[in-house]
Amino acid sequence: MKQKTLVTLVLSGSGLLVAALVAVMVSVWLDTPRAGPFSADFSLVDDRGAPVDKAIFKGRPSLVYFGYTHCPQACPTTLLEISDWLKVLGDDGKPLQALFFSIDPERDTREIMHSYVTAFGDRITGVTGTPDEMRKVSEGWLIHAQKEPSENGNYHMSHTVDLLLIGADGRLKGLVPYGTDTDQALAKIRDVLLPVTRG
Amino acid sequence: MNISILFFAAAALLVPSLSVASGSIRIEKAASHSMVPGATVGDGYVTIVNDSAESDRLVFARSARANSVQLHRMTVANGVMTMRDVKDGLPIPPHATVTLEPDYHLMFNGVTEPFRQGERVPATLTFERAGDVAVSFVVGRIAGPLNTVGQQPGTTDMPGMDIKATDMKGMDMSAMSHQPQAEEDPAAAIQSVLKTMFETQDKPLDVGPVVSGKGWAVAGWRQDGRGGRVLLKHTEDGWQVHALGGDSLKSAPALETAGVPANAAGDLAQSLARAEAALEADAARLLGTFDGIVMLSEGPEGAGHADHGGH
Repeated sequence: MKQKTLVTLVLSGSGLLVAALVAVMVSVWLDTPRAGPFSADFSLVDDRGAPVDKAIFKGRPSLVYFGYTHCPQACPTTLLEISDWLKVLGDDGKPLQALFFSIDPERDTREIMHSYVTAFGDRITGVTGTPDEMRKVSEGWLIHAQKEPSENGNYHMSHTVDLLLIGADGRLKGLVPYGTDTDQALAKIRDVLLPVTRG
Repeated sequence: MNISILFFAAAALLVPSLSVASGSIRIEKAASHSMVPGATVGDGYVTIVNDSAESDRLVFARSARANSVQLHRMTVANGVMTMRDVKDGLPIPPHATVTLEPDYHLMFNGVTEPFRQGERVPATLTFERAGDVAVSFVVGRIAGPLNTVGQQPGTTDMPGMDIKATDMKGMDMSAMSHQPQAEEDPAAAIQSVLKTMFETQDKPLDVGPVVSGKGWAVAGWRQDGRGGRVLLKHTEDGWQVHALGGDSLKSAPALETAGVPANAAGDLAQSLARAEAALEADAARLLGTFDGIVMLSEGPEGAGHADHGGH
């Protein structure tokens, strides 16, 4: 409880929306020295058919977004932004990978994911698979993803729309909330994922 | 039944002074994002004006392009976006303007023919009092703000804009600068129409030359190393894109084939030849790189279909 209060203060100070979920996520981030990195074992597939497991989060810094293709606004907006940011970052952003995990793998087949992500250029990799395996990843990153029933047996997804910034060590380094303006997002990405090492 | 009803909404987006009237309800803007390949749902945003002293309610929507059209409400709280069906309709208070974004949108479900940038998607909105209103959604870019035309530069009250997306993206606001004189001068109006339909943030559209006469116009364009010509027709609702082509929209006989009356085609082709002679060689060459011809204008069949869509 004490920790949560602290986190709440830190969050308020940084202008983020304060929420239990975000608090937990950031507490993991703040507590990095002791918190273990993401460690769930899972088996998924990328949009080109290559297997994806937990090793994907290690070795290079990642922009990670959880969404779905029946998403009318947040997902295409975010993917378009990611693709724009990567263009702006240019060579600086070369080490980054961008991952789009489907929280709706029942409808988002590999083929659909492939068409979807390639519409935003060649830098974003789509990841899908079975719902059980996907849940391991989303829960591992404390991502909220829940079906909301609609008409005719259809459904929408309620989901976390923050973008996760994950370091090459596989640990969460920060979040870019939905709606963050370009300059702030780029500053944050540079700050937490692309540190200047010379000096 | 008037074919122009289909064009009302599109024109309303482009020419601020025009709007759809159906009794007491007017639709001042109707726009959709183009669909991402792989997606089977499209969105739609409208601005609804109620001129009467009676309240009304948007209760239903349908489109031949979708299995169903739903009204959704989105909320973002704690970093989680939730989208829910709005079951009891959207109230339209008396003497009020209701804009869907950013909290609401129409969602076109089960779309088999994806919305493409530059086209129009016909739909019908049903209001409790005003009844059916035909709407044509102008399809813009894949994400980000759609209604950048028709706003006064520097206006702080921009009900039609998705402020959040604008702030977020720093998207090009170039289209805003083409108002408000656009409706006076054909060349400016046409440039504004084309930029709204085809320009994207990273692919600026260069329009010119524009020649017009007897209600028809041909505009050259260049974008991303390619180019072509657009044939436009003037209607009571403004300039409508009629066809896209390259050298298929150059000579008088070719223009006639595309639908221009013989008495207008000759003059248009002559003015075009003169205007294009002034272009630099590279720019002139690009005009011919568009292969074939794409007709965009709905024919009378399309209008009839939309009018009887509910029967």
